[in-house]
Amino acid sequence: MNSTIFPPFVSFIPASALIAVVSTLHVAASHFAVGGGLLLYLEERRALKEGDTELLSWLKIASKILMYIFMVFGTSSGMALWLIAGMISPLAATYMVVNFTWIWMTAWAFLVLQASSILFYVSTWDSAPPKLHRRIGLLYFSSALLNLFFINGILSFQLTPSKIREPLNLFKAFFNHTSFPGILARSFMSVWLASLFFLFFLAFYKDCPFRITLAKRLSRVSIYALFLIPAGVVWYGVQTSKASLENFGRVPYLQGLMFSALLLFLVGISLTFFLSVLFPQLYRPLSASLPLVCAVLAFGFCEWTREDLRLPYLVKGAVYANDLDVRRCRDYGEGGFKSEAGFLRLAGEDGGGKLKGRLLFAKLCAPCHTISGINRLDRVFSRVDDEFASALVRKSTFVKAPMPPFPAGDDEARLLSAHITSSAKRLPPHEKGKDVFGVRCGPCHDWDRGYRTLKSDFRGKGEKEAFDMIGSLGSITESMPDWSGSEEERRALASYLSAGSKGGQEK
Amino acid sequence: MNSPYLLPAAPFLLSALSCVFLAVHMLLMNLTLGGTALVSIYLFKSKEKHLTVAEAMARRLPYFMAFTILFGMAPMILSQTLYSPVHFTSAVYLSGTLLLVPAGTLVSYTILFLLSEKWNVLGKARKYLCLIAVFSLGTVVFVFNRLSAVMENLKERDIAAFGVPGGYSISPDYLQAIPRFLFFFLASVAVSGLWVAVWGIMKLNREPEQGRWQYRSGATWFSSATILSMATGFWWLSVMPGDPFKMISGGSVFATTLFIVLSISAAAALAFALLGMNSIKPSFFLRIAAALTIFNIAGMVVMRDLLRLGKLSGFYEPAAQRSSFQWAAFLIFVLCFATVLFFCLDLFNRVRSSRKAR
Repeated sequence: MNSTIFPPFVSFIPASALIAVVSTLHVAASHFAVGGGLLLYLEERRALKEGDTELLSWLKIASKILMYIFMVFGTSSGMALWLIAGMISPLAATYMVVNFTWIWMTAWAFLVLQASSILFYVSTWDSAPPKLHRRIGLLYFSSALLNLFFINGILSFQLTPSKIREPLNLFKAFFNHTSFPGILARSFMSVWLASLFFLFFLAFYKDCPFRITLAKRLSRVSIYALFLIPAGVVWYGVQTSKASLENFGRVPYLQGLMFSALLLFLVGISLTFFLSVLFPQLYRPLSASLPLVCAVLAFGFCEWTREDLRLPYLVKGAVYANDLDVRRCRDYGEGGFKSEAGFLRLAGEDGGGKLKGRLLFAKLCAPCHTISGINRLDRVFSRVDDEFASALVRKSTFVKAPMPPFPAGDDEARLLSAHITSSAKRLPPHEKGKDVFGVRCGPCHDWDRGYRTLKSDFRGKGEKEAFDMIGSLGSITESMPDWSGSEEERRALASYLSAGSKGGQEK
Repeated sequence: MNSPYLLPAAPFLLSALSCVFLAVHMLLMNLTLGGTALVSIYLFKSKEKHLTVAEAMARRLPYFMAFTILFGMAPMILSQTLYSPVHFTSAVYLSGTLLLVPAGTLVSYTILFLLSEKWNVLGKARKYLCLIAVFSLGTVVFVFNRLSAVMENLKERDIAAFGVPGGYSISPDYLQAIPRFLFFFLASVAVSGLWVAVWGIMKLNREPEQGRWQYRSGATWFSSATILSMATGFWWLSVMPGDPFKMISGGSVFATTLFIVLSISAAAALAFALLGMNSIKPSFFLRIAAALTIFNIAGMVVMRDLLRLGKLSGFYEPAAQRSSFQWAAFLIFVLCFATVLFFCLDLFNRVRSSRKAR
């Protein structure tokens, strides 16, 4: 499958971002379908017990909306997600489909029941006896939860696989470390999302005491669910491996993402309480949409965090983020990848291997990066010389961000880096020491806090010593490239390192 | 070419299950696509009888669509398992074009729900909405046909997908995708015509005039669309690479026998429909035509599988893939699916009896 390259749709969005958008929408719809089932069942039971006809007639409308979101939007977005994932990461998709075929099929069986029961549920409000109707509602919720249970087992495997070997121990793979914490967190999240969805729909209902009573009840449900979500999330975090959690320090935006998710959770819950309990007169469709938007975004950010904890893998230990087979990468050696990647052979020897460079970028980098859009590479590559750019590509596993290894040889590394540098807007090298540090050292090191810090290595060293040390970088460890920058850059960097190590002013 | 991972069951089991679910999917897909096309035609004709049947059909179409999608998922999973290298390579080759599938599904599904729920409110907009739904559904079917055509032709082409051009260029796949699509589209109109006809028979006692008109109209659509789809079927066979004629004319005993049986049953279904259309008691003829058509759909699924295997032979052989049977997981699936079927049937019976009781 190394022969295939997914052509990026647009140059400023990496393929992974496309998946993120579609999956956020799909996950929101599918979780609403689960939690919505529980709320419908409970509210119908209450309405029948209390003889509340107004609630029953509202539930009839709510169930139709749920059916539409689950059946139409849920299935279409799920289909999009499935197809995009298969195109962007054929190997990872193959791994997940082939190894978990029967689990997918079992989840599908419950999806059939879920769809059948919601269709019956919506179409029998006026014809089925109340007891039977309620049982259909319960059947819908149970099948939705079981569907979630099976899919959650597969998804959690991607981050916390038991042990990658062939044939896979399916039992251990499915009941992996984060399987139960995942289902716990997702179940409460689905109730939380559903209560916010219903609160939003309720905002369109005429202003009357029923509306306020139901809004208060739904907001209570959302608050209870939200208090229980952290239990699942914390358990999930405890079960996630230390190596994966290290990504919080290695992926620059990950901490911010998690913090934003937390903030959105808090804003969402405060708004819900504010609108439905404290100031019901302000509870209108527009204002009711705000907590929902917060919830969907928070949920999306959580999913995004979960995805990036896997880096540099798509399936931990089996498939890299750029769809390379982990085991094969170990065995490639010189020329192994080249002989497998049909596109390199077909690209021929065009003017200086430009096409090869472009195709290598599409295959190896484009799944996560763009040149100058999201997750851009030009910040570093536009200010460095070709030799350094090529070394960065070749030694990709040593950089701070979790990256897959570069599978090909030196020639391919040069072609790929040449493609990146030629596509980026070329800028003159930095003059300030701090900026030179950012470009030359920053990809792999932090200065005094964070990842592979350098401050202690330069403690007590003068500018001349630092200058000499920079000149012999290649001999320090195998992972360090030789210094290939200009003398001016070297002097500026030496001055920065020496002053910084003494706690002096940074230049 | 080989599957990079061990298959979870013997290829034969995966293939057989895929055929069973695909047959159900195809039947429902024919009813959805053809049904929407017929509703559209009836809406443009705008006479009372046409509108009556169009409304009744439109109310049922979202249900058909729901189960078409559901029963399309299972063969998709199974065929991705069985044909993973060729399937995903073809998907990459099609790239952005494949995204028309969820887009078309979303549009058509929304319109079908809208028509079903707001039939009376929509007025004249109905026919145009219905046309959009036919176009969207047609796009979905066309893209899937093209995906299959690309899969089957991987042997002939160099499989390196070169960036963007592969997804959008005019390639030989279209030569097969166009007759293939026309064949499916016309067949779906035929199947839906038969649905209208059989429904007409069921109405004969309650509404004799509407019932009579309906079975005649349905049978007419069935007959004409069947004749046209047979013609496009031969066109499709003639442009298939890898000499499929050889396979169905003695190259493979099973394929040849199946092709002959299917040709006879299609011709017989057509004859029975024509007899039914002109008979005073059409029930017998049209029901036989319906049974033969269902048999034909199932047979076509198997035939398609055989042709694909023939065309991929020597390049990717599903039967030669290594497998390790995940019997426990398979058993869980069988048990869960049986339980689900039981619950679905039980629900159906309970709801029906409660409706009768009312």
